[in-house]
Amino acid sequence: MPKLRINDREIEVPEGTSVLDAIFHAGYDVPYFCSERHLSPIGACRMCLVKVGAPRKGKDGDWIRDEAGNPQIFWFPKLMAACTTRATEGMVVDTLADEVRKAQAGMVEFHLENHPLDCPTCDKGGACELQDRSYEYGLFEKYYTQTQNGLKTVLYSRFEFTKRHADKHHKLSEFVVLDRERCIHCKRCVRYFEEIPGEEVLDFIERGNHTFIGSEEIPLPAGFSGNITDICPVGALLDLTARFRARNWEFEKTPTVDMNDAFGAAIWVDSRSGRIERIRAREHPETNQIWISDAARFGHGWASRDRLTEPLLRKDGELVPVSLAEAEAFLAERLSGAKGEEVGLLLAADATLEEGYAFAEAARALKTPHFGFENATRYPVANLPAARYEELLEAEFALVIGDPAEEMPNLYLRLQEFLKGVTPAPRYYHGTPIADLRLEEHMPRRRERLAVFAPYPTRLHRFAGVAGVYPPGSVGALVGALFAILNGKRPEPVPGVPEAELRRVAERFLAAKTRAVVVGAEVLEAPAAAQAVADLARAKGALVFAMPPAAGARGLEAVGLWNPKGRGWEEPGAGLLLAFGATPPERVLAAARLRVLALSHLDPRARAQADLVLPAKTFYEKRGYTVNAEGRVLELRPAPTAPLGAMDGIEALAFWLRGMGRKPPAGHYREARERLHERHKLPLDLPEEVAFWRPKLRLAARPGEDKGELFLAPTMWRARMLADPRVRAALGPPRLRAHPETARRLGLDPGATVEVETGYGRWEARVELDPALAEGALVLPAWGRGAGRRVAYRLRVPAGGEA
Amino acid sequence: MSEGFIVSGHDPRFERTLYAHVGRPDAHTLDYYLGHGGYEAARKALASMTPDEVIEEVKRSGLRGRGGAGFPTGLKWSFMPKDDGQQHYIIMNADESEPGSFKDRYILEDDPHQAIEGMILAGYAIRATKGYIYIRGEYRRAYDRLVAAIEEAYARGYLGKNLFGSGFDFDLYVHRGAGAYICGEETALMNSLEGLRANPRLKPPFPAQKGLFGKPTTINNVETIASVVHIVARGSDWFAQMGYDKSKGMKLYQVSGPAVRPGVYELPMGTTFRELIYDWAGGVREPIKALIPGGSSTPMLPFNDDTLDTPMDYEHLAEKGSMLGTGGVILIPERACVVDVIWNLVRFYGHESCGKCTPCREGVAGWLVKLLGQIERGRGKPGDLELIEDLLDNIEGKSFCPLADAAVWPVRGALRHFRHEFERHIEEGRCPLEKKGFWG
Ligand SMILES: Cc1cc2nc3c(=O)[nH]c(=O)nc-3n(C[C@H](O)[C@H](O)[C@H](O)COP(=O)(O)O)c2cc1C
Ligand code: SF4
Ligand code: SF4
Ligand code: FES
Repeated sequence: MPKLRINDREIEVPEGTSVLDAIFHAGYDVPYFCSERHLSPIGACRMCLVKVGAPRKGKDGDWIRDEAGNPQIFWFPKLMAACTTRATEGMVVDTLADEVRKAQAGMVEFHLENHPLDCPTCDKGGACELQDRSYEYGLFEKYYTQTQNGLKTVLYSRFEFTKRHADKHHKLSEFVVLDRERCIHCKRCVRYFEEIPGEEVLDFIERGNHTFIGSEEIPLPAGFSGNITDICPVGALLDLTARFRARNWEFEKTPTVDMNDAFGAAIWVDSRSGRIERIRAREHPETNQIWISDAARFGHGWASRDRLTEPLLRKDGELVPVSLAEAEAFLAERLSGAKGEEVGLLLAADATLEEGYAFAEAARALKTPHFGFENATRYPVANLPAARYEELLEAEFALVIGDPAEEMPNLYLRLQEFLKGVTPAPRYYHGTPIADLRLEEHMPRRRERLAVFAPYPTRLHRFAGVAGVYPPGSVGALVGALFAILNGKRPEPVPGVPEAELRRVAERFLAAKTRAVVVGAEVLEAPAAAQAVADLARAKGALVFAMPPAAGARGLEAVGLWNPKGRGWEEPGAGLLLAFGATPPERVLAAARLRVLALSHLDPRARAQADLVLPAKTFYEKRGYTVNAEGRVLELRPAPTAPLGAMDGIEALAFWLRGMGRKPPAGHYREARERLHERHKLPLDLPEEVAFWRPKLRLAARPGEDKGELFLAPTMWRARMLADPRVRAALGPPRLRAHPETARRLGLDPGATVEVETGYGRWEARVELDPALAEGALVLPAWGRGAGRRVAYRLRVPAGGEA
Repeated sequence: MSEGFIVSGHDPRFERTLYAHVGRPDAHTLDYYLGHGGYEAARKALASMTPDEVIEEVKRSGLRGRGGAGFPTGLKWSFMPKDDGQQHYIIMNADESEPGSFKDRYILEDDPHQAIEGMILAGYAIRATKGYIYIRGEYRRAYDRLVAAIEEAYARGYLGKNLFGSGFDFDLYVHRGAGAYICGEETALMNSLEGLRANPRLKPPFPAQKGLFGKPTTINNVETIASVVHIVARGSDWFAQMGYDKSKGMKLYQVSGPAVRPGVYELPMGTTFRELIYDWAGGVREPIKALIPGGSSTPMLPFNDDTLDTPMDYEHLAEKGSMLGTGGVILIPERACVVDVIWNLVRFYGHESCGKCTPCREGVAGWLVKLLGQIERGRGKPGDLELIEDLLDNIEGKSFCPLADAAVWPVRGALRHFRHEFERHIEEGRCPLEKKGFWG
């Protein structure tokens, strides 16, 4: 641990710390543009130049000393870039010297030279690193003043020529726009793509003063592209969903959690005048770091359009707006004398713990078998042990069965980190290191540490030492065979995956000191396979990362919403139905006598079948807690965008129960939270770094097996996001992927548009042939419903189309 | 003249080696090379010297890098790890793109086997079994000759497995640059070789720790590596008799501009400008006002007796506030406008800036070019020179790689010795020199 002096302060920092981090750790500031947390330091912007000296050792191995006997400080002949200089024992750093200030002012001047300074029309204005740094470090009166007409004015730049002109509206995708004039060439975006998701899509083109950012891949691949809009220090890369929606200081900024998947990524919801305008990643060093997926970032458009603002009641076959009192009267009438076991209580996948608790308690009190949550899997994810995401970095080998990039995109980024062999960074007083010298550009990926299997080639496949594609439905066979080999038995053959490959995986698995197993929805839908993973983890010792398709799954199961008898959400049976947050499948609605749905948006199924619709909050607007895939308790805070009268699940349930003449388990959020805490002793008041809730559960799995032939592939995008035309345009029509042989057998032509209908909905899909799939495989994106399942389907050629 | 250091081409003890065969018919063929003692140094070293002994010999000779920076070659080689089990690489930097430098070219064109033999020796010394020659893309003939020579060498066992029965394997590859000066910077060159954009890389890690493809690598200039052949063949003492204290050996000096016989001259280190220009290059064709001593990045010196009597080596030129660089002497005639010359040079560096770091991309490639152009076109304003000097302060020593410095130094040299020309441009509002021909 080297000790060094920053200006007047002595500090001690971990070995390998950059001078830049040492400066911040000591409580001093230094400007920087090219360095960014989690990216490799490159020393390009030259903003962080400081004066550095160090003692030297003489021939005798001892420090060379001055007259006073102290180690003599030898100053480096030039100013050093703090981001790329390693802090060493006895170093002395001066960030306040005149020559440092002059260099900083000079560098600001160079940065502003060709910058258009169109701050008044720039979405980054007010939150721009260039603005901030120019004000702090650019003005240096001593150097940049001019006297005109007897008046002394201060200059930012003495550049008097025409500025460089370049493309100002270069659309990189439906979501990201590039302004090449504003770019200050920090290279953060270029490094981000190569280093974080591992896709080299952006680079500098041309050189010298003509250097600009460009890509061969327009549009940028959707998935992880949005993070560049967060890290671009200026307004060169901007979020198109928020273009010109507000100045940065006008946004209401709400720190909450993304509930589109079970990862629990921290986000900022930026809203204004009751609309969500923008989602940004919020730093959480132990979970999502500073990254989120494109779906989490750009998929918010649905939440602010066409909101339900008042109750709708079906009168003469039409849903018409009514007062809450009328809705209440209607419920009281229809629910009088209702039997508890007839009632069905269904909750959406993104519900909070408190909502889950209220629903579970109510179901218990009513003694009804009809309850559950959307996207519950056959095997309860709560039965599997949970590991912290950071623990993945300590593993030596990871076996992935599933598609992390789509199922839990942030876990995919963690896997990329794991492939680079990076361990968690030290924490400084200022937090995450800004210039982590352990990171480099183009770090080799350790492919031999990773094995991936899925029913189709995933993004992760090309990074894996062993990568396999098996036919949908064979996941049980795959896990079984691996299990057999690990236990020294003869494996049954797995279609599509040679035994030698499995043996290689087993060999590496056993050779690794710490191993991780990552499993997705498909495994959770195959109870035997999931159980085998649980047993494996116990017997051989492995970190398990399970990716349930329902964001709140772990918590909802643990608070009592696990229904071992039926699927609740998907199985018809209840006569009197309350569903909160999403619309259950058609057949469930059809089987009920009374259908009350609490929704934020009216969808076609609700329009056709609901008797009463109550306005509901989206997850962005709820207060509450959730338990993520690692068992961490995270807090949701409400963005001020819910329409007046929109209910959360607790209120909707209370409304319903009052109609039945029963006392609700909780009348409102606060009560639900207290009860939940009393009952489960949740660590709700602890900071998120330490608040874990991992009750040891042995819930009974639901028996059964999928019989259908169409595989629903997990997607980070959710069906509701498609309400936004921008998202639709970016994603294009869903792709029905088929092995060429299968397509031929089914009479599907590549490129043809067909209508596919499953129990989850109807899509117009485009046929795509994929020889990497197993023969017989048909794959359709799930878009949040039934991911990882094999379902029955009907194919039709739409009128006017051709197959 | 036959005692002490050899510091003149007239010294009877001096004998040409590097360029001894340049210009001779068929000098590029293996038969010619073998007929003139070719591959004997390699045979000797591989048979009777350990790699460390080769490094020691080079260290003792005092050879310093001829690529411009003058780093001691033996010392550089000794930084390479030993017995680390990794693949090592040796790279020959033949990107020669500095204006005024054209010495490497003729070694490759007319004596490619000399370069190959040097690579074998260097590879052996640093325990690299693979070598790359990164050659300037425009050097088409040199490339063709080199490729043909390598093929010949492979065919006759001078490259490949088990050279001279010593058990040492050596493979050599040639890679053509695509026309960027920055590719001559050693780490940018490695990026380029790896198929990446030629931006300089961070140091540390230095190439000897983590170079090409992340493996220990040494990179040297063509002339440096060719010199090693003769050091091994004739001994370090022979080499060290040439030149003054810290600048040893023979050097390829180049003369361009209005000399009677511009060209490359192999002379002992420490030869004076006067000898080079008047005795070897045949004098000047017209009045000269300044000379650039070592390639375009070195500050110019006024063309006077003091300069002419300066020995051309690292130390003496540093004393004069300039540098030996690549030894490429450029003569600037009286009728040329210094402002124009400097604007031209800075434009070159601006054009070649890789764009990675701010002071070079914005300072050199943008602002400095514009300011100098403004002065040359007669639109300079009072205060422009002070502004230029302040910008030079903000650029020099603050960029990521030395390219920006290379643009600063000539401007500094010109302002030091020819400030009056700049001032006249600003005062008169025009370029005072009548323009004609290439120089004007
Ligand atoms: C911008 C720039 C361009 C360079 N171009 C060349 C070149 O064309 N040829 C060369 O030998 N060295 C060139 N160098 C020097 C190399 O980086 C390196 O120092 C040299 O090849 C080392 O060889 P040496 O030790 O034999 O001189 C260049 C350096 C810089 C900064
Ligand atoms: S676009 Fe933004 S992030 Fe990318 S190099 Fe330019 S300024 Fe940096
Ligand atoms: S000084 Fe900077 S911009 Fe110029 S060539 Fe070097 S790294 Fe590139
Ligand atoms: S050079 Fe950009 S932060 Fe150090």
